[in-house]
Amino acid sequence: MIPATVPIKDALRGFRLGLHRGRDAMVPLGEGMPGPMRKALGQIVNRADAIGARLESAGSALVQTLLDLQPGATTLRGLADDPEGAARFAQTLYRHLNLALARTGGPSMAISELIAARDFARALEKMTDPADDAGLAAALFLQLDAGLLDVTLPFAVTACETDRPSSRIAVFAVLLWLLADRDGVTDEGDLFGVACDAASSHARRSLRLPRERAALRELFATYAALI
Amino acid sequence: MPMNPLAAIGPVPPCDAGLRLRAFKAAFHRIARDVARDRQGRAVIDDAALACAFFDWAGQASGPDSPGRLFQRLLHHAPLTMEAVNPACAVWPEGVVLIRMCFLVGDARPDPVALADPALWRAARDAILTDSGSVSRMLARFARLDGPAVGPELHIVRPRPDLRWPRWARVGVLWLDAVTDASDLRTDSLGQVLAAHGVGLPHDEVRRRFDAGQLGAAMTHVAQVTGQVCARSFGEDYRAMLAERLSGGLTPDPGAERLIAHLRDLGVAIRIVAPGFPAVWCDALPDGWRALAVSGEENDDAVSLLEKLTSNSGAELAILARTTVAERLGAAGWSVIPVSRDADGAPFQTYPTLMDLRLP
Repeated sequence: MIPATVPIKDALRGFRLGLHRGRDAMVPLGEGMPGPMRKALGQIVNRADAIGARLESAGSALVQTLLDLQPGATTLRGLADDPEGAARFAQTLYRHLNLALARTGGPSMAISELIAARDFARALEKMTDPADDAGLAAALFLQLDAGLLDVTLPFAVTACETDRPSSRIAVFAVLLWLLADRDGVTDEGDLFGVACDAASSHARRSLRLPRERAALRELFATYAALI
Repeated sequence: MPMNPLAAIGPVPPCDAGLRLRAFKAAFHRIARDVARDRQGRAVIDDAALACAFFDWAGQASGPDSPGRLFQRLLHHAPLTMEAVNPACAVWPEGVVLIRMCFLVGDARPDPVALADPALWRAARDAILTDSGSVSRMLARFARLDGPAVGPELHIVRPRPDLRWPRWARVGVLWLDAVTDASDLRTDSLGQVLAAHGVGLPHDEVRRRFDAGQLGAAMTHVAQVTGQVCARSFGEDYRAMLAERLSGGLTPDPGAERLIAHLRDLGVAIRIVAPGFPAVWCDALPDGWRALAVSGEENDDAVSLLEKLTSNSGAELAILARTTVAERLGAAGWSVIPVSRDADGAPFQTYPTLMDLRLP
């Protein structure tokens, strides 16, 4: 069951993102215009900036205070056992994907929590062995790869062709972090960093992420045992 | 590009903490930070490159050559750059971190004296960077093969107590017995000559009475005990005995050569001193030490010899001496600082301790 608040978050972010992207597209266009038109476009850009700032502030406050779930499990097993796991996974992925992209060297991207939550629920449904966490990670990765990273909704920036490899690596890093054993010693932030390092090293060693579920499952299990 | 990514990762090794990337990374960062701090520099670490080295190595992380393989992978992926390192105290700071990591994952323990030896680091850097196949051989040279490197119980003696520690002297005076195995040999020789002149004394008594007082004190003692002025041949007999016993040469104490090289690398002028028959001692010195002046005159005792050195050099001296010499200098008002950290009967880690000295 995905809470009704999830699409509201997507809509708010889409609104804000659309405004930013429209504004960014307008700025270079105005530079080639005659004086009065350039001035008029400049005024529109300024108004868009003001609206964007207010929207950013109000939207963030709304999301953080009313729409986000309270912090919960940060492991794949915990999320799978949580009745709100799908939405909580989507929220976690939203928060960590850009951190992972920053660490693995990819450009930032916007994702839909609604699609992420649906992908989580679908991956969970496909599991025949509910205790197979590496299998869940593999199924989830394939689901996200086919859904989340291909979105063309107006509010979300679709990963372009050149972004796709880095987006997949970043998703792999987040899922690896969720899959990793907790040892009670390593800080969550450090563990997330280690997962990102592992994913980066995979790409840097010119290794590909397999597209077959069994191979992906084995890859997740291997890395999870080593990080 | 390998078709199967698992082939590159290799079989999953046992999951003890040492083989986890999280522990490996934490250890690498800690060592790099410590080495950078010691060398007044900054460690810049590429964590993804570090992870590459780890995963390359993880599939082969068992077996006797595991540390060597790790070093190869670290060298290949080069995860560490040391920036702004003080060149005066850095031979190969990246290599220091890499080799310490290798000891962390292997069974061998590092020799702290070797780790602090700039000459050995230079050799390691030159060998490894030109031939990565030499890694295992160089790692073996840094390993502690035959127990801890120990030295005699030593003290640093300073002529004036107002010298501010650790602003160390730029001239280091090493009492010969502090860096070689000469002590027993000298005591035995002197004991035999004393016996031949009518004064038989136990080995420990000879050492306690004459180790720092040397020949003049021994002759005075013979005169007091026998009631006769000591024959002129006493000195000659002793010199001949020493020369005979030293014909095989002197063996440096474990770590002493590295200590001397270390001090010289730090810009400390080194002088070796021994009271009595400097020419005899000089002939018996190890080859590399002949370039170091051996000071002393036949009838000097420790205090008068070192006072002469102090007044002649005009420099701040630090003198490394065994207990008997240090006690005599201490009684004469010199400042005596025990070097060894060991107070519980453990082997004296004198040279490793001295290797830690940092000069301004």
